[in-house]
Amino acid sequence: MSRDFITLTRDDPDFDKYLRGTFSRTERALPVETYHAQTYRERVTFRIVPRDQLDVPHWTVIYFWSCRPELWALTLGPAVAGWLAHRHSLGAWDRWPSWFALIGIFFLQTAGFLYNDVQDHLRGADRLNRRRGSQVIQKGWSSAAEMERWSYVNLALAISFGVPAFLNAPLPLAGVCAGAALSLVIILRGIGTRYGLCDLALIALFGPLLTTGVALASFGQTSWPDVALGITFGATALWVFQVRQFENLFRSKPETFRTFLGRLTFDRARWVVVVEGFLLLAVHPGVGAFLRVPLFFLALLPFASLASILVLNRVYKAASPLSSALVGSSRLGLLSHVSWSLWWGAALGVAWL
Amino acid sequence: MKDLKIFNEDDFPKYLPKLNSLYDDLFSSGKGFRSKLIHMMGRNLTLDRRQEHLLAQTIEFIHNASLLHDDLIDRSPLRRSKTAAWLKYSPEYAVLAGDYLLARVMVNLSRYGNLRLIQYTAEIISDLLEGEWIQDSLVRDWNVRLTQLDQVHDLKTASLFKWCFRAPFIAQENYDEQLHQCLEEMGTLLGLLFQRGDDLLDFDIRNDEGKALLGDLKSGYLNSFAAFLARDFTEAQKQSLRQCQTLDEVKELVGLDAFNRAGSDFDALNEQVIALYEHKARSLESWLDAKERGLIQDLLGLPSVLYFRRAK
Repeated sequence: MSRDFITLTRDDPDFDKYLRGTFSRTERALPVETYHAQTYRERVTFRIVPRDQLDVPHWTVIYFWSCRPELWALTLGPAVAGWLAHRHSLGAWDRWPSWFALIGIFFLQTAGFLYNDVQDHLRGADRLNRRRGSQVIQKGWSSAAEMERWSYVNLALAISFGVPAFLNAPLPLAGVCAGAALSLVIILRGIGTRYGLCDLALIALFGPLLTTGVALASFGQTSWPDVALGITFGATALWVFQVRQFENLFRSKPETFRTFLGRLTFDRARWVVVVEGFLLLAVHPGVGAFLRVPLFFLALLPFASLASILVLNRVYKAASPLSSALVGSSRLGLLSHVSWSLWWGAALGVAWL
Repeated sequence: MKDLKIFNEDDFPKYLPKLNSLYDDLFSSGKGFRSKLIHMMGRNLTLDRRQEHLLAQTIEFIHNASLLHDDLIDRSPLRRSKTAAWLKYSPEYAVLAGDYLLARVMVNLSRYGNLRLIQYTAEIISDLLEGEWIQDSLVRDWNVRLTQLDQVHDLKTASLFKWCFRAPFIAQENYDEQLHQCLEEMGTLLGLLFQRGDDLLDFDIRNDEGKALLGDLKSGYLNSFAAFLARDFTEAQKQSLRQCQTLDEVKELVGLDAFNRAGSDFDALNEQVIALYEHKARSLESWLDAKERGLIQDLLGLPSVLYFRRAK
């Protein structure tokens, strides 16, 4: 691999071309890891590598990894669970809006992740933390400009599928969209982080807004069980984000947003994560009983909670933010969300059948 | 690089018992290459003697203060082949002597009067202490990775190299932001290379100075080469590694060929860091006058001395 480097400043006329990967048709500019505790935004060093020296997979593989499959459960989990929770209405599941709503959410999520990857690259967060994002840009598989175009394509697909579903209950869904927009503003601008407002917005965005939105788009109605299910999923998603924040507490500056946890000292943050994790272990079966999932599935709770327990063990053991016990704990946190989503999907699916 | 006299008998109060002899012991056997680095910078940037001495003294005081504290934290019985200060005198004297050096740094810099230099130096001391603190949390962490250690070493080791590069320019009142960012990045890379080179000595690789072997491992600390060596180890192998008391036991555990291959791979990894460092050193040209450009050649030679431990 080539060892040619180039360092450019923000005011260099070619800076944007290198960062977006549009400077050459035959070469890629791979960002160099900084090793710093803080990110530098004014100067970026790239390693220039000829494209033919890169082992670039087929575009379908690139698209698959760009979609961040490990994060699918965060949105698709509550969406599918919210959908299955309306088992009395599922007899009409041949109605196309119900499917369109789920497909629209998938494309919207993908558009968001692709755009976020590009933003991480432009802000320099990927040069600081090499484990961030899909790594598609960092490995030279695709340029930032191409990724950005892909995010717009996915957004267009999300709108195409979302509009017909939206027409199912336009007014209430407009309220849900407004709530989602407000939550996003709170999260991205870090409004009220000190008072946990950012955390509440995360719970709403990855919980009740999703479950009620899917119910409205699919069946034109929603109910309190949708909200209860949504809060359970939202709280789990928040916990997953907090675990990731805890793992990156040492270099929290490049994080896109901060939860309440990001303001705490290491020792307090650890206790918050552990206590919240234990509470979630009780909340899922509690809401499951409220929604009358079959008793057999309550017996399967130890399997669903295994990943969460492993995360709790790692967090509890961590002696510092750099402790090896924490390495990979955010991925395990995501796995815990996947296992809860599968549990809910299976339990509500069986109840429906 | 010529040896520099870092302090004289007038620098510290004579009435404090044992203080001067403690410092004599501490400073007398050190290599003082950080002060030599300052001298190299000063020669190329034409710093005056007073500035050069102040900077060299500052960096050596900070470094040696950290050593006094470090030895006590690690309970290391030896420093530079002599009994460590905390054992020879007392833990209390070792702590106070370290604190006193840091206090003298602030007194000396305040007298010089460059506020930016004082502020930057305070930041570096703060980074150093953060690195010490976080490193202590990694003792007996047998799964620690190179990337985690790099972050500790950026605070603990590289911070002093960054200071050596930036402080002479600050003393000259050259505050160009881009220049200082470049120097900061170079300091980070050189600090990593120095630390990684130093960690290799523990495994008798290029250990011409005869440093005691496996010191880190025996203290329960997986250094950068050990983390690299153990990156694909099973739990059982890690368990065995932590029980190794001699280098032969380590080589037997890993296999001689695999051990040598790990050494070569580690060098190859660091060659990439050196390439990046050299790129950054060459980019300094735009900030230096014609008469100062000899600095670039001097800087390009440093990885050879600090990582490959080739005498210059």
